Amino acid sequence: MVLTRRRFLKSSAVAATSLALAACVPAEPSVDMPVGTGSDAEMTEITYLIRSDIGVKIQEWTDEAIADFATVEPNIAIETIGVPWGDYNAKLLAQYAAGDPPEISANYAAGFPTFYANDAIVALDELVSENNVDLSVIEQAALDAVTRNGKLWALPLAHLPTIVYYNLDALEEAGATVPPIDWADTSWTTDAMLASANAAAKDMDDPTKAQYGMIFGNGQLGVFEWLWGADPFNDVGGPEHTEAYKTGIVTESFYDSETMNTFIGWVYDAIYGGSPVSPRPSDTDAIQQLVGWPMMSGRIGMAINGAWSVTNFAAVEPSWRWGVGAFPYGPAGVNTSPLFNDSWMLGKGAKEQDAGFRFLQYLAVEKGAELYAQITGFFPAHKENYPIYFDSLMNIPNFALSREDAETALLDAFNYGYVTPGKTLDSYPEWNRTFNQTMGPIWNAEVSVADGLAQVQAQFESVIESKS
Amino acid sequence: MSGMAAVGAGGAERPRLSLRWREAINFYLFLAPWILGFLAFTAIPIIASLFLGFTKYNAISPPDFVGLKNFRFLYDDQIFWKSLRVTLTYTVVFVPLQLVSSLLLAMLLNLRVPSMRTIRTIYYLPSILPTVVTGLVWIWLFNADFGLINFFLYKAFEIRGPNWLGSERWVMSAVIISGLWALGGGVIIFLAALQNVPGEFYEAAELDGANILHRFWHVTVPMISPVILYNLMIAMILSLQVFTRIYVLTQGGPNYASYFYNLYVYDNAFSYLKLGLASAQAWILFVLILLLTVLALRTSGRWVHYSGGV
Repeated sequence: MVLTRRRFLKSSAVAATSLALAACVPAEPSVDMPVGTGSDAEMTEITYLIRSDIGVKIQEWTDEAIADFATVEPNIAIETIGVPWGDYNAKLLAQYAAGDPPEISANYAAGFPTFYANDAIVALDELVSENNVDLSVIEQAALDAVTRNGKLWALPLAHLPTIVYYNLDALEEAGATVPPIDWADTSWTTDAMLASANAAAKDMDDPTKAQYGMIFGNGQLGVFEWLWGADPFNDVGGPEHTEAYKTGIVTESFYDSETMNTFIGWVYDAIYGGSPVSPRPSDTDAIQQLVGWPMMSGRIGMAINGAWSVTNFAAVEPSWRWGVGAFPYGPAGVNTSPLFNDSWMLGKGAKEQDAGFRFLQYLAVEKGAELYAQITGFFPAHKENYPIYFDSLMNIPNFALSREDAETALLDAFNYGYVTPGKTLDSYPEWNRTFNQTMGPIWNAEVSVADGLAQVQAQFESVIESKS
Repeated sequence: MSGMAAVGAGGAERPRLSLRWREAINFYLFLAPWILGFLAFTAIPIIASLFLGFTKYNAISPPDFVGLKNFRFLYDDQIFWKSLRVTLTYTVVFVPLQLVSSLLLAMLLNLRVPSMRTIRTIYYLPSILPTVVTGLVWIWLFNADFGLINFFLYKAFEIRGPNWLGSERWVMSAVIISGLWALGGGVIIFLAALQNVPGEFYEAAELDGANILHRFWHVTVPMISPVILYNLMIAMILSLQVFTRIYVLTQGGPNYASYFYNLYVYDNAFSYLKLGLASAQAWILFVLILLLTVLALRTSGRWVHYSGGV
């Protein structure tokens, strides 16, 4: 055939069109092909949405777990899709919208309550029973956190209390009280912590030199109010009285309560009072930009945060000695620590439910959970893997506690904890945005605590009304 | 040539396509990739979003038709009005400032001085830097205690600078200042327009005794007025759609003082799982932009001068 100009142009156009169409077709999944046998058997492919922004450790764990899983189940191939925390929801939604939800995803961002409320995840009880999965190896409180209406909706891999981190060198140098490991020690109160912070704080007039006593914070949606014996979503008492934590649906809020005023006023005074011990938000932002979590700057005596922050110490390897201690008792005589969990869910409508659950089982109760405890630095929900976690914790430089003390400080926390709202409320990102936006004027000292909290309450009421 | 003519069954000559038809087929074949891309990634999503605007849709369950409920909800929603007010305030202040600054900068860059090409490149650099990176730099610059801006204010004037990003009163100023930094795109277009103004117009004006301000007002401005209109419309559209810089700088805070419209659209769509509501919002913004663009075009007859009187 003679290649005329017309033929060439037509062929080029057809080829270009084909290329454009091919570009619109979903790419072949980058399946992590299993090693080992089973090449003759039919392969089942499942999709696993992972979070890619928490350092190399999660990725490293994922890679190792998938490689090992391939030796256990050579006929199940895993396609991983990595997205950072901020995009996790959007990606997950896009997959649902396309009718192709991933078999396995985690309860980041919107969390399991939102996906539960939207009927987007599978109840696991039948699959657990059919596959004889022994859930007794998982911390019961972690399982309770993902149970609704008597059914289990996810399998927890990490279970993380809120604890006090401290810079032992700074506290010792100032002669300040060091947070105890004993959660039953009622002498460790918010006032004792403030006194210790006062002792440790110096040069507070000069942000470039200041050594801050503590960063206390407010907890998710202000739940450190629990220490003052109240909760933002009931007017009776602590979190155990809040119906919204059981149903996921917020129907009332009490941000302008006297207790909330007292609690926020206490934290406010720690920043702006006559004897400040905490950095102002602009100082925190500046330190955060330099070192990530401000505690790692070495300029903070104590900081309250979830147990995941141990990974910061592993990454930074500070030159100063550090430790972890119990949450302080508040004026109400309780030291309720907000509990977090990272749990993995099986997507409703995902094509390969059985293979998906098999992988979930592997991650939560088999070798995957072991690798998780060993590699990620997140406190495992799998009780038998606690020793592995503590082995890795003891390897972090300048950790000042003995292994026994570390076990007490972290494990006892679960006896004093309650699941944090981010893991119980439907539409948590919306509540979180509402809270953070409206609290801004208070933390930046633009309004009084009372006026600011009245605004917070008004905004919550407005959102509650819009949802009713 | 005879060999080229196809002979059909029964010996009848197959009718050949006319040149016009063949050209049309070739035209559409070549255009097909772009038409398909436009349909798949622009036209169909736009139409779909119009439909979704009348539904309750969370991407997980199928859309549920709710009529005008989303629009009624937005009408009663304080945050919707606040985000609209924030965005319009920004546009009203920022667009004139940007136009004037771009034009002045373009005039400076139009001077004949040594190394002008290098200077022009330097001024254009901010426009090609990633917004996220420049946003992080601005966070540093605006920091109340460590930022260079407050440091300068204190050293030069002994003024204690405000908490730029943490104050409801000051955050909009900070956002506008950070936006004015990247003027490169508008400057380049103004510069091209300025270089196309014939030199003899200035010479004639000078002979008539026009000073530099007269020359600017009676020669430069009319001659580049179509470009001013173009830059005005582009700046207006981009200001109403601003997102990334705000997302990095303030996340819309404090207390929604910098909660721009598109930030609320994004939150509704991807954080709150209200894609139907977000679609309705997107269409309201579309209509708003359309109205403002039409208004700008309609009024342009009074001040835009096209060469040849067109």
